[in-house]
Amino acid sequence: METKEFIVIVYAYNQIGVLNRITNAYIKGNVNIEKLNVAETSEQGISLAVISAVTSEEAIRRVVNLLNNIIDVIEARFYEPEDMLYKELGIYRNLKITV
Amino acid sequence: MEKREVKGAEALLLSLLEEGVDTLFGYPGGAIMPLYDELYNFEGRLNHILVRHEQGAVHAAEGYARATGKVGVCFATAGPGATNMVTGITDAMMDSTPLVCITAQVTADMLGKDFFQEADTISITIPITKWSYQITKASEVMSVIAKAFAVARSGRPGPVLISFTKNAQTELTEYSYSKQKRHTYHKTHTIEEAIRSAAEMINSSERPLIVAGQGVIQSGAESLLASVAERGNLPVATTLLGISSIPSDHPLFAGNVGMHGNLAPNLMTQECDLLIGIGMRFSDRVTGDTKLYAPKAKVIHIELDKAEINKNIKADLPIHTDAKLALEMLSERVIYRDRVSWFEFADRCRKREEVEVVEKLLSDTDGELSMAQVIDKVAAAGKGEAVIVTDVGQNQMMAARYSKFKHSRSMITSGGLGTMGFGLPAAIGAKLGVPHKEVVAVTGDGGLQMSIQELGTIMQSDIGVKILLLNNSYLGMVRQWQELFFKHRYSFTEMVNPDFHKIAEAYKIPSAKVTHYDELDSAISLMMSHKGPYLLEVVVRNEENVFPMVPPGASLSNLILDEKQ
Repeated sequence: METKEFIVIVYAYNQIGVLNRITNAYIKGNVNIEKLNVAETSEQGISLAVISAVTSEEAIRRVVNLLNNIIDVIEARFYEPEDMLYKELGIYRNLKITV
Repeated sequence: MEKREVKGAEALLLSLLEEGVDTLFGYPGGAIMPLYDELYNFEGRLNHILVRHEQGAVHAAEGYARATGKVGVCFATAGPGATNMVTGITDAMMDSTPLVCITAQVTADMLGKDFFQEADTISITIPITKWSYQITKASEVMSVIAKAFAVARSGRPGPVLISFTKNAQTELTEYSYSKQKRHTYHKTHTIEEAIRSAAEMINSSERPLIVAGQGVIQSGAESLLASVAERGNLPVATTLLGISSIPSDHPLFAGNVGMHGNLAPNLMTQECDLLIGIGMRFSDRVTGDTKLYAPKAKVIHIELDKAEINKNIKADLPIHTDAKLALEMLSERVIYRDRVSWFEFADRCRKREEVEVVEKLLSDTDGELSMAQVIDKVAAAGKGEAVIVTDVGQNQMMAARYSKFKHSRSMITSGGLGTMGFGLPAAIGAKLGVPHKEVVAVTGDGGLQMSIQELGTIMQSDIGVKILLLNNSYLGMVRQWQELFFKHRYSFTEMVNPDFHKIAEAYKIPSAKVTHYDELDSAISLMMSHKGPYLLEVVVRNEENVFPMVPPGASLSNLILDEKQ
């Protein structure tokens, strides 16, 4: 099965254990996480996780479905890195950047 | 809204009352003592059943939930109390059973210090719960319990775990409760489009087959299922958990699909031109080899959990909604077609199974008893009114094959996880949920001994469960696989059993033992007419196999009817 890099964007309520549930979806799908960034968005109490993994499209779909079933996840979607160029601006606009 | 100050423990119990809880199953211990102390004041409002092991509490809550459609509730203390619940919670997750499991936890400021009986319950249960939360302040109790119940019962139901720290149990908080509502399903343009296409596919299909799962029961769509089937003249098969979603004697009921299902629906799956899966998840026990599953069919998959759509079987038409709404919308559009040759095919399969499997087993009245004979007699005595709760293995498959059901929610079994030890405690929960119904726990000698301590629960709370023990002195299903696929090498499956009559006697439960066919009728009738709990041990053939069988990993087309195949 063809594997490639997929980037998953997850918006979730900033709760104890939610990151554990998010990474657990990857464990259940037997997908290794290559990169993981989490930050709070401009909306208080909502965090954004950007997760990169090399896997098949079928596997990442399964992981994203599991992520969307997490009660404290607002939305999860997957992208290929080339799509991300167009999304990044929007994502970073949502982040609360503190320097 | 009126507010008053109460302890966190009282707030939790009051919240349970708000959610309509009347029965709960549990076992006290150190960290949960403040909650149990408060529970002492709730006598008459909350019926707490003292189980003998925390796993039993979860299974009992599952049985209660499955029999009633309500959320099952169970209590355990921190540490070992919570970890003992893990198997039951996993079972509930796999079978989408709505539970709220409340486990105590050490005081919040001691968390993470390996305090006595501290276990990281939240982390342990993350993969096996729909949601979990650790309450560390009494003020959180009301909103967390409201969310717990809403999450447990909404969408695809499932277990929720609440870890309740000791300090939060004793602290004071202002009590005020408001229920939460989640997820309702509405007609959307997308759903309407999909239903229109589904109806067209159904109406033009010559060989359709509905496969109904537990989603039909959980959404309360049983009568709609029958009415859609009748309007369109569509045969209905059920999955193991879908059993009783349509009465067993309904003329359009084709039987159960799956590894030990009926010949007709399994072969119909392979021959149909349209398969309509409703509220089911195409588990491997249903599909066999997925590449060879329903090779001639277009697949419509009606399912509210999006993660299940296209997971195991690719759907030509996925409909992401709940079974009730979909069936409601379909019922207006489905039109009647004769499909004579399709029903003739079903009838030929049914007759073949009748002759080659069923009659062979039921007519042999001289030799040792077959499990099929016992279940068949119990089914006749129960007249389709009894709730059958099974353990796991051959007893379960025989109960699924030979029981008869008139009403929904009358087959309670551990499908996804296949948890031995489920039957007895789940039957206790079911009986408490539907006390007016006869509840029969069908179990084997292996499974019974995995939760035999729950006979103590039956004794103490006088729970009128009928226990039908099919004793073959083997771990029967494993032995069957060893016989068929491991060259008869019976590696550690033979059981040397205790005298079950003496055990029952020690627990003050009347019992009887049957070894011959001619004793069976009167023994079953005695059991069924007995008021209160009763154990009937039936000694059955040591080496009986359950057939038909789809060998593991094989196509449904290759199902076998006996050992010679």
